[in-house]
Amino acid sequence: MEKRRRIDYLSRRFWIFFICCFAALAAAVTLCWVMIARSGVAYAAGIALLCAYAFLLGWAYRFLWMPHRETERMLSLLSKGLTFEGIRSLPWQISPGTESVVEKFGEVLSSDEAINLTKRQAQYLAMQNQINPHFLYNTLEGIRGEALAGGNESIAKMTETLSHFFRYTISNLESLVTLEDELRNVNNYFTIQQYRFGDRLAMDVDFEDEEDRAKLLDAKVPKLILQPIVENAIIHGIEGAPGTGKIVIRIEFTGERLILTVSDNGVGMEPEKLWELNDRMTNLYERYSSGTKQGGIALSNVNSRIKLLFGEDYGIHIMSEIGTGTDVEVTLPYLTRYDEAPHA
Amino acid sequence: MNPVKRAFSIGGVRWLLVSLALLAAMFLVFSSLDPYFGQPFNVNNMLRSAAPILLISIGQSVVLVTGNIDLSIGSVVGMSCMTSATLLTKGFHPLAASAIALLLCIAFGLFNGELVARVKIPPYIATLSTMMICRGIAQVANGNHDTGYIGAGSYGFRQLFYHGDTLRIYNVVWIALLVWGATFFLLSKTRTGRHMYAIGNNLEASRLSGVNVGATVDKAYMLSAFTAGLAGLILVAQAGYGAMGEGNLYEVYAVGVAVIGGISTLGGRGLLVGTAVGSVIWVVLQNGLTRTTVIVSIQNIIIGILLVVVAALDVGARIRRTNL
Amino acid sequence: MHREALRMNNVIQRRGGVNLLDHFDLHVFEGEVLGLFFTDNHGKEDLIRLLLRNTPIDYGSVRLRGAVVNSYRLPGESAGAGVSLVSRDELLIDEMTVAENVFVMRRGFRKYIIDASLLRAQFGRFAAEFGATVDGGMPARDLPFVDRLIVQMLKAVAQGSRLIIVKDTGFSPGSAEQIKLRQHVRRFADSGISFLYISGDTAELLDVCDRIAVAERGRVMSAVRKEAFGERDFGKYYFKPDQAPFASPGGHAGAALEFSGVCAGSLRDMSFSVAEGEGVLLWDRSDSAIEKIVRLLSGMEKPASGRILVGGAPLFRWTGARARVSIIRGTPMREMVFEDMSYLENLCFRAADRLPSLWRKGAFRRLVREEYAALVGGDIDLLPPLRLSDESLYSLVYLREHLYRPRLLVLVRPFLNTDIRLKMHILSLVRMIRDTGAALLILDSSVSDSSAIADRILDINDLGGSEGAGSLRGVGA
Repeated sequence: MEKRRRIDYLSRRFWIFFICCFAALAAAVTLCWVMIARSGVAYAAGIALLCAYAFLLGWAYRFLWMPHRETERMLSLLSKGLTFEGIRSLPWQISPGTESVVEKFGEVLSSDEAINLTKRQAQYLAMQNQINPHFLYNTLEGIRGEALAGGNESIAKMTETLSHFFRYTISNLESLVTLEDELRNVNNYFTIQQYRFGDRLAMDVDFEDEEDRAKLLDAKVPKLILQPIVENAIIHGIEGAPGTGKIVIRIEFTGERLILTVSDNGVGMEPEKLWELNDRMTNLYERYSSGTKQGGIALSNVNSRIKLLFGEDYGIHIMSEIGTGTDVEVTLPYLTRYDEAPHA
Repeated sequence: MNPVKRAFSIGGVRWLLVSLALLAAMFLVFSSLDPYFGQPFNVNNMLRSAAPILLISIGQSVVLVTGNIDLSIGSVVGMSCMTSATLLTKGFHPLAASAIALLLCIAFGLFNGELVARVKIPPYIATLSTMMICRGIAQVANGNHDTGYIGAGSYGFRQLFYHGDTLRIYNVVWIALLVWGATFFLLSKTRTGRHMYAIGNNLEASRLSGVNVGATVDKAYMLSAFTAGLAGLILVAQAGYGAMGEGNLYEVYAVGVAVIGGISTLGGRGLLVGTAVGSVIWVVLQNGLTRTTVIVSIQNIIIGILLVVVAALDVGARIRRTNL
Repeated sequence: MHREALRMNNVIQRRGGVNLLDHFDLHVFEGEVLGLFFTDNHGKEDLIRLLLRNTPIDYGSVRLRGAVVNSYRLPGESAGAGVSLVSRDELLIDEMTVAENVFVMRRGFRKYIIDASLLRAQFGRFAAEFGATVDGGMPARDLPFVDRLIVQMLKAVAQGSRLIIVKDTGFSPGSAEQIKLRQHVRRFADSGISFLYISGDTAELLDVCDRIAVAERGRVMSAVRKEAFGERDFGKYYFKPDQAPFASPGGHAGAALEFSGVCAGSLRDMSFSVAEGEGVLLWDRSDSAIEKIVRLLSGMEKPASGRILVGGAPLFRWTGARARVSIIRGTPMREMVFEDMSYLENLCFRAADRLPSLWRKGAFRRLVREEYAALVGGDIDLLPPLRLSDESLYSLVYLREHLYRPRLLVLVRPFLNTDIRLKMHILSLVRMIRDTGAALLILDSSVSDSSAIADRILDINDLGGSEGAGSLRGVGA
């Protein structure tokens, strides 16, 4: 699209027209006044006119210019991919036409995401359908039985864990679960991984305030937010690092939100990569793309889901120091019932 | 570097163009309202009345540039007027009378400078006190009377300072232009001039940078007093005698012209060219309004409003630039 | 549960096309001391201004104790009293007593009639809550510097602020002043006040803070909790110039600067000298004498007794002109520049004192331009109003003096409020000036950075000077 000349914008034409009208009016009034500036009546009329004029100018400023500027600002934020709620929440719209365009755009964005999510869900559904869960569970039970009979405790344990893990993962993605469930799932995942890493891997769950433990375990959180992050930490952080990898999940509660921080002491990441990742967490357009970069799809997915469910105030923030480790900070609202979700 | 861009970057060029446009507009309006306005006879007269205004404004501009103000200008004009007139009536040679009057003014200028820079009295209070003192001297000079006619021996004096003309333009205009040129050179090409801008711009940095603040401020006030003295001489030549009340409110006019001309009230900025244009605008406005029979009080209101608007624009522009 | 005093969520603030704060994400819990270290000073001043005054942001939100005080959707609201700043630039009213400063000079003070003794008693009780032993009846101008900071903190709390930003105190870590400040910060934190402790000195942060966040390019890149301090390598943020200290030319017999028996204010009979070409750091731990010495050297004050000589001659000649001494203040650096003059004019300003025709002849200015264009780059052609980056600003101020060829260069807290890159830049600029043979006098309260450019360190307490009120000499150096 070739560069538009400034005058091609209708808004500019409107403004130029207004300014010309005002200037012409001002000139006419002043000229008349100077010419007949003799009688007292003319003075009074002139002053009254000037006052009315100033009032009109003030009104135009407050109700035309400032809303226009605010709308422009929101539109530019939208084009940068930062916010969509901003423009929807303005108390005015430019015209009925633009309003419907904005609505439609919002739907498109959501449906894009829906498509992406459903793609993933489809993957799981496929797994669910093609591999009959009952068949899977039964087979696993069978293996477990054989293992126990053969005196092989560890294989039995592994298959049991795997069974629980699959059950959790495959079942309904949309609902909220309790934090306790989510932690248990992470633990299961960790146990499975431990069979591979052995002593090289350790994990700890740390409640900032032990008193809150019971209350927090009951909190409602989206499903599958911790495990992908832990998986990410293991693959990108710890796998490449020498020595024991330690993952700590810290749970903090501020009274209105939950902060879950997954910290690892792995290789960390380069500042540039960290920068890029964090940018992706907030950019509307980038986080909906499936992304060609390997690292960060999981984080991106969790972040998107949280933002879709709860709004811009929540999500993921990543911090890292190369050579020292990475902290992934997940922010969620504190909910005890499903319908308390703050964002539609 | 693009010369146009370069020109615009100098503080005050934009306003200069606006004020020139304003001047042109006013000229057109008044010419259309009054057929005799644009005649050479009237224009010459206007320039002649502009001369003393320009002189005092030059002085005030320089003081404003250093970030100070001179409220004693009017009284110094009166003092110069009365001392020179008194001496002339007593038979002194015009040259001697003028010299003595001017030296007296410069002395008071130095006094102002010292009060402000060394004793560190705020400028409006310091110059206010000088204003009272000088007005008192003006009254005492001839024993609390206006002087009589300054005598036939002062013909040359009066020709130089008022009635005479060279090359069809009144002498006083040439004098004013000369003083303007010298001050212009001072401000833009000499170290003292730079120091004046620096002090008005950033007093702390100037001090730390080794600027002799005391000496520079002294020079600014002395120049202001000198130009006020010259203006006083012109008034004596015009009236033919010395009146005690001469120069009343002149300091206010001087500030007005300087501000209209684009000298910033906060100091450190402004072109002397603007002052010249400002003085012409001033005189055109007064002359034009008088000719179209707008009564004097309304004139004052109009000029006052113009002043406030310009000053507000100036301060607004400065504050936006310093990015609070 | 611990409540948050401050939460900044994804804040973006842009000015002139540059992201000052770029997805800035930070939270401070109640009663926590959060250290904030900027590797490049990018966005530091803007962050402080944002928190104090709620300047408009382009995205994100700021919450104080759960309530949204600033967001990209709201127009910037007027600043409440929730956040206060404690720093060396903050002003107390010198003429009023400490108690008056704390209680009267704040928003919401409604009484018309002020009862001084009542205020003092009130102040005594208030201060005791926080373990502060400052005398409420003392005029503020007599306070030693560290007590000024503590009084500022008391004033902040009296005003209702629950978050205090401490910025660049400039103390040497381990000094008695530092320890005293740290103890008081702890006391305040234990009462539930939160601190945002901003410093360029990681050693100081490690001492005082519960958690340290590292910010770069306007974004928080990592945060470390106290337990993990040992695991992080903060050493790489220390300023360690690898060049050898400057070898003074030697062989010059004379003294560039000499103070002999100078008495002024709290300075008593102070004597020292700086040899030609030498670099001396005058270390004033309690920061009570630095301003006084600057006033003496710049001519704003004359010593009550004693002499100050530059190159053997008195500092000020009878005409009022000053000997060839350059004074550069570290902060605020922006005030050292004349914004309504072009870059080139600023550069020539000092040198023109020795060569006035610089103003008359454009040719001379062009010569200057050619000589410095390589060092300065494109900025040399900048026209007013001057908007300079930090690096450019420092270049201008230092090169202006370099062109002047002073006999003595005085630096006042040169490394305060600077990041690593700027420190290296300043180092190279100072070297350039010293290469012209100038002697160097550094006045600083923190010795860690300035010692890199000094050949000799003088402790002001040893010079017989600085009887600052309540000076902490002798209390665990």
